[in-house]
Amino acid sequence: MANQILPLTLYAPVKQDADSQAAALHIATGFEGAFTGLMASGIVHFARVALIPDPTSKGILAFMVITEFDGDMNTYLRFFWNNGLDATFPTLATILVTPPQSTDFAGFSNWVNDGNLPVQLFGAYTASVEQILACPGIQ
Amino acid sequence: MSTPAPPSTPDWSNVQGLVRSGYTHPFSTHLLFTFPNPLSPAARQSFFGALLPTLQSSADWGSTKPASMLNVGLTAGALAKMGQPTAAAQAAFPADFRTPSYTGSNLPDQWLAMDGTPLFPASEVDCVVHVYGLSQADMEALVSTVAAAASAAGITERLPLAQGDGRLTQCNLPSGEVHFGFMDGISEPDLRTPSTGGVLPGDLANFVIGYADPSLPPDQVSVDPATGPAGDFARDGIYDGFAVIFQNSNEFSAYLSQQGAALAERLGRTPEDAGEWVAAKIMGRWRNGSPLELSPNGPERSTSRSSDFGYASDPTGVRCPFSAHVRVSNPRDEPLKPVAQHPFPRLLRRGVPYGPPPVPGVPDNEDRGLVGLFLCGSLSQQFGKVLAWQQVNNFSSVYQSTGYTTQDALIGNRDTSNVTLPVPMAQGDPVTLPALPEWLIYRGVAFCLLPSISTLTALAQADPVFGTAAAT
Repeated sequence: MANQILPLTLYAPVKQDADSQAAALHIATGFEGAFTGLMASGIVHFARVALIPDPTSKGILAFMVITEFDGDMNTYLRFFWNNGLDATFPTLATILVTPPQSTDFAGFSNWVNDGNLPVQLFGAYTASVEQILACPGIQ
Repeated sequence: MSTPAPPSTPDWSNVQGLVRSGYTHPFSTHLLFTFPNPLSPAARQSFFGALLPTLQSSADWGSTKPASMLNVGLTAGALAKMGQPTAAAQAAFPADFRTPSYTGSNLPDQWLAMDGTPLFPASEVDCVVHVYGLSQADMEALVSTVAAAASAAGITERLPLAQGDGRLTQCNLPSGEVHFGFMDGISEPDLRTPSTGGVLPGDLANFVIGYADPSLPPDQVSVDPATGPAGDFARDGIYDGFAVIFQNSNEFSAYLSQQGAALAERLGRTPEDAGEWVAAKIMGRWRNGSPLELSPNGPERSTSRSSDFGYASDPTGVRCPFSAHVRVSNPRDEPLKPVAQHPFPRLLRRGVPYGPPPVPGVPDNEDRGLVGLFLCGSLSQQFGKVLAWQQVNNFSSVYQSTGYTTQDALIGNRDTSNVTLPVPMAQGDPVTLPALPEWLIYRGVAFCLLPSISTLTALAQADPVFGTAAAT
């Protein structure tokens, strides 16, 4: 039985007003901190947030999350939500061009699933995080 | 539009009957339908109107069982084809209902014939009607009524079996028994509401839509949609991972015989008794229902319906192997990894066997198995989570010793030829049950919502409106 390793490539355009642009920077910084906690889940291979620049200006075009994890999407999302994202998501929702229908977990889950691009930008793992960490010399 | 706060317990007369308890009617047929696209309002009215007179709720039916009755499940495809509720409201349903994922969960995206030949895409099943009868005649009469109503509405019935009339018709085994000879449905969550403010693993808030704490404590399943027109449509409903599972009883019996003969001397049992020991180690219960944790040496009448036990006192799996079916599907007090802990997945199971019962010692080529209704508040957080645990035993550190390479001993896709069941022994080396066959194969699945009685009643009206008090 193969380990199921799933990518998430979330692309979410950001509003272009000054307040939203500033908030995007702030939220992206906060996400990096949240990802540190997410690594404690023992299922995340990597997680990065990127602010996609607008090629026509100096602003931010979109908010992007690139990650790969073991298991099913919903377990991953619930762990993320239970570990702090519930407090951040309502603010994130205010800067999105296409906001979620709600800022509860259902809205978050639907927003992620709807914005998940059918591409994998990076993937290098065939073993689970736990199996990799169990290898001699890796910690 | 604001939605009034729901009461703390449902009006059970508004909840479909399968939710509150399983039925003991000895006859049932489970009909699959594909709606035309779109399903016209007139066709919708006529079809659901024909179902309403025998639509069974969870209200107490008193001393007189209905002679026949039915319950109804609708997929997201049905909602789309009906245009009910609005497209915006449909988008508020969780993604696991709107766009089910089959990846990694051992579920086929096609309905399959017994030989694996695709019959029709899973996405084409829009509606499942579960018909029950006290007698075969009662059941058949209602099946005819439902089939005629579907035909009149331009709705196509799908026939998943090659035998009989092609429908999923219940096999009359002794009450509670399934084809491998085990008692089923012993350990079921109840729908109590929490009495102390906490969330019980099996309580109402985790199953019936509309009763969850909106702050979503970690132990609580996110049961959605909770608000707005979608919440009105869904309230008092429940999700159903409807699955038809082929059971290869020939191969199961042959495996027990082979392993029983091989282990008889080591176990000090007759080959037949050793085969029963193997069956119990695979299931985690003896065939009569006695859990290995309470009755490690053999079945006992006194424990045959027991569900009050845990695994804390069996940390090495000497009594019940870690990958035994019941220990994977409901690990109880097993220590779980942090990412697996919340929410704890439970399912309300309402299955019945289909196909002729096997004759002991007589191999055959019959199509038999389980018509499974796995009711839950979230298809991914409960149904999908249990299926994922069954596919890869990685949710607890107890599996570390085997490198997280084991599957549920009873059900798994066996995509390698060497799925084994390590069986720790009190004395001596562990026994390894080798090369577990793929005894259980999913033949088809439909991700349904069992809507409330009021929602189904509204669908039988010309212009249902969801999102106002009047419509609920």
